[in-house]
Amino acid sequence: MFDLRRLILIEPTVRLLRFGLLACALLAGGLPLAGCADGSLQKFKTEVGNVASAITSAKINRKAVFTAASVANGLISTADIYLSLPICGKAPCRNPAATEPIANAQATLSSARSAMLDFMKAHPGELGDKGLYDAMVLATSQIKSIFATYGVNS
Amino acid sequence: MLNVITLTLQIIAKLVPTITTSQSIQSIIDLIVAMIPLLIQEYQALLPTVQNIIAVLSQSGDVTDDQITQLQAASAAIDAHFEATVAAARAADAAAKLKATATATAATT
Repeated sequence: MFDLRRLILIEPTVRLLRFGLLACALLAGGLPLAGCADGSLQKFKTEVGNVASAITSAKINRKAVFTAASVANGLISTADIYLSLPICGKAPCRNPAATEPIANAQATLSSARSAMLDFMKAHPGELGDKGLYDAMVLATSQIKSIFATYGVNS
Repeated sequence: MLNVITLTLQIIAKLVPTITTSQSIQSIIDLIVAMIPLLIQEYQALLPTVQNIIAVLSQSGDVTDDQITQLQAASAAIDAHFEATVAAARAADAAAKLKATATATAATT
């Protein structure tokens, strides 16, 4: 779907990156860059910094947020089911060494998911916060990695 | 029984985004609230579906403040179950460790 906010955010980035590549190519090639004295180079660096900052605070569409939250819910539940199993001795069972890593990762993921959903609730109709989204995705990958380490099928 | 509950929840999950009246939302909340104890007891694998329904309903522009409170309570009940599971697992680990230590001590004496 066409997303005007994304276009507004991304389009200047693309233009600036094109300009940056051209400037770098000229500088690297040792070609004389008219007007590219310290002042304009500094301005270019500042602009790159501004764009990097804008990307960091970029927004995520609501569908992606709810899809990620849904994945998080599934993984939190998988952790719950695994931790409900008896300690190994009879199958199916769980490895007690996995308790703390899974419990901690589950708590982190649960907090990240709640923070993201609370943000969406507080900002109806708006895009999701990228920082919160990234935290949820990171927590998702961490718990998946722990599941892989201990052979938990999610 | 599991199949019936699974299908019911799947249908609700599909319908939820299209529901716009607070009466219909309340009917779904009532159903979810009634189901949660059974799901916690017997069908934990279905809890993510309920959480997804709660998340979508919570974002609805047609949900009332009272319904938001009910949804938060339902979500809190599920979270409390997860926390109880972690606490039980930790307690079982500690008990097993204690038993192993006692057995080792008895073997050496």
